Amino acid sequence: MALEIIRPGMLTTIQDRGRFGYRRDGVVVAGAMDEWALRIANLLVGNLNSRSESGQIKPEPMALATGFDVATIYQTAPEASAYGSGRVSLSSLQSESLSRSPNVESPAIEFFLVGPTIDFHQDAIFAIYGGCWNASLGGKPVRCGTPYRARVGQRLEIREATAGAWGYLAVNGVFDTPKVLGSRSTHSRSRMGGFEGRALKAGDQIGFKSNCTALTFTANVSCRYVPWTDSVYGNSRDGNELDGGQQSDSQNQSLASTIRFVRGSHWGMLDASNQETVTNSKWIISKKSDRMGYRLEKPSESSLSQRVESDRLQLASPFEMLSEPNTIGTIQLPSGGDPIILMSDAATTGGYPRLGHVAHVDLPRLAQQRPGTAIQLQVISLAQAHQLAIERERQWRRLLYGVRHEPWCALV
Amino acid sequence: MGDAPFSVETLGDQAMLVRFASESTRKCFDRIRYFEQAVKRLSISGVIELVPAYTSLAVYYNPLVIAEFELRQRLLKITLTESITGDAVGADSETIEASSSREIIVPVCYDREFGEDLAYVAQVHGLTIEEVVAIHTSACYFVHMIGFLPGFPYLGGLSHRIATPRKESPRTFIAAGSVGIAGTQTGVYPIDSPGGWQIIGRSPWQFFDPSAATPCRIQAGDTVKFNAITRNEFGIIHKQCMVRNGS
Repeated sequence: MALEIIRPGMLTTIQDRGRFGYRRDGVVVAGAMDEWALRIANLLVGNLNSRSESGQIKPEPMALATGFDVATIYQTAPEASAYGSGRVSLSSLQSESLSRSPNVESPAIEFFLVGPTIDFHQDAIFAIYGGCWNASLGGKPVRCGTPYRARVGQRLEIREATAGAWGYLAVNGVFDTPKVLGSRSTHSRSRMGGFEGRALKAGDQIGFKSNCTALTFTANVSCRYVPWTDSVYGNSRDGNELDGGQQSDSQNQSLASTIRFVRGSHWGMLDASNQETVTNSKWIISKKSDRMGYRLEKPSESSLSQRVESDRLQLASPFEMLSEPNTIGTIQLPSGGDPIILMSDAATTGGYPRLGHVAHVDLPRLAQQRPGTAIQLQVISLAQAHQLAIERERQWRRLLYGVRHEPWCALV
Repeated sequence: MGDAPFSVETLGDQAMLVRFASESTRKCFDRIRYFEQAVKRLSISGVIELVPAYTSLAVYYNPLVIAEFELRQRLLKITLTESITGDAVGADSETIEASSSREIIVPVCYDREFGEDLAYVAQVHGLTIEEVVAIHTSACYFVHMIGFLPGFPYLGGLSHRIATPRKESPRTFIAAGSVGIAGTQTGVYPIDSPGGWQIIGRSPWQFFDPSAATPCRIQAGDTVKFNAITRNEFGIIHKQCMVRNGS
C-alpha cells in the first residue's frame, strides 16, 4: 500500500514547510523551496492545515471532481469564524499564517526541472502544483493545479517543466515517513528527515494513509483549479504590481522577474554606485544554484566591456565578521563579489556580509526562476514587506473560502 | 564599558538581530545568554525561535502575529533590565558563569589513521606530533555557538602555537567525529561532511542525535577538554555508542 518511484526525476525529495526550533543547534530549516506551491498542492488534495492532524477539525465528506475520474474526498470542515468577510485583521491571521511557522503542513514530493515517474499501489487523490509540467496519468494528460484520482496500478509520469523550476506532488493524506525534530522535510546533507534522509531513488516505496474513501469524485469538474499564473509568481491578471499584466497566455510565459528585498545590516557598507549596481543590474541565476542558495552573476555580455572590474560588487572597505545567524532569503556578499541568496537548505549561520533579505512573499517567485534566467532586485521598506505578507495571507484566505464554500467555482 | 550595550537590527522581514558587542568575549556570551533567557521568560506570542551566535542573538518571528515595532519595543525593554543587572554584576560575572558552565571531556584518538593533517600541522609549527597533541589536549575550550552543521561547535581558546589556516582546497568528505583546526578555532564535525579544516584526530562519540531530547551533545556555553585515547579505546567507545543508539 504505497506509491513507488519508478524514475526519480531530479532532486526529488519529500518536503514539508521545514524544521523549526532547532536552528540554535545548527539544524537547517530545509522545507519546500516554494512553500506557496506546497500549500496549494495540499489544498487541492484536501490536506488543509496542520490542525486537522491534531484532531481539532472533524473531517466531512465533500464532493469534488475532475474531468477524468470521480471520487469523494474527505474535506476538513469550515471554520466557525473568520472566512465570511473579505476583511482580515492581523489577529485573525494568527492561526493559519502564510509565513514559515512551527506548524508544519503535510509534506509533498518536491522535484526540480524533471519530475518523477510513479506507480500507485493504492487509490489516491493527487495534484501537481508549482510550475507547469508535462505529465500524464495512465497515458492521459494531467493538468497541473487540478486534483485527480489515481487507481491502483496506474502510472503517473511527470516529465519536464515547461515553466517554473520546482514542482510539488501532493496526495490526500500524509506520507508515513517519520517526523525528525518535528518535520518530515528532507535535508540530504545531514541525512535527516524525508525518506531515509535522502533524495528518492527508483524502487523506493512511500506509504501513505489516505483520508479518502473512494465514493464519487463528482461533477464539479474544475472546482479545484488553481492556475499557475497568479500574482504570487508575478503574472497576476490584476496586473497591479508587475509588468502590467501584459504577458501572453502561453504556457511558456516568463515569470515576472522583479524580486523585492529589505536592506540588511551591511547594505550601508556599499557605496552609492555599488548600491546602484545591485538594484539596476540584471542578475543571472547561476547554474551552480541549488537548495542551499541561488548564486547571482552578471550577464556574460557585460564581461566583454571594460566595466567588469568596477561592476564587481565590493564593500567600501574590507570587512571581517564573526559568524552570525542567517535567514532564508538573506542576500550575502562573499569576497568574490557575486551575491548569493540563501534558500531553504541554507546553513543556520554565516560569516559573509548581508546586503539584504528577500521579502518573504517573493521567495516562491524567486525559487521558481530557473538557473540561467535574469532577475532584478528592488529595495522595499520593512513596512512594505509586512504589508505584502498581509495581502498574501488575504489571498490564501480567499482560496480557502473558495474551496470550502464555493466548490463549483474555479479557484482563481 | 562606554559602548551602548545592545542594538536591534533588521534581519529580513521575519527576524531581527540583537547585537551585543563587536568582540566575542566571555562577558558578551553571558549577556547573550541572559538576554535569551529573558526573551524566553516573556514567551512572546509570534516569536518562533532564538539563535545565539558569537556577538548576537537572532529572534525569528511571525510578522502576522506580532508587529515588528511591538516586538522591538519589548526586546528593548529587556535590554534595559539586562544592562542594569549586567553592569551591576559586571566585573564578577566571569567567575559566576564559570561555575555554572558544564565541562565536557571529549575522547579523541590522535592516530595517523584519523589525524590526516596532524603531521602537516606539526611540520608548519616545527613541533613533534606528540607536542601538537599535548598542546591540543592541555587547553580548555569555550563553546561560543553551534552553527554551520547540526551540532557543530565553534570552540574558542586554541593555542596560537598550533593555530593553522584552513586547507587550500576543502576535502569532499570528512567523517563524523573528526576533530579539526581552522585558524585559532578548533571543532568537531558532528556528521559526515565536506570541509576545509585541518583534521588532527577523531572522537568515537556521536555528537548529534536527532532522536534525542537534546540532539546536540555539546551546547553553547559548555567548556570542552580533549582527552587522548588509543586506537583500541576508540574502537571500544565507538561500539558502545553504536549499541546505545540501537544501530
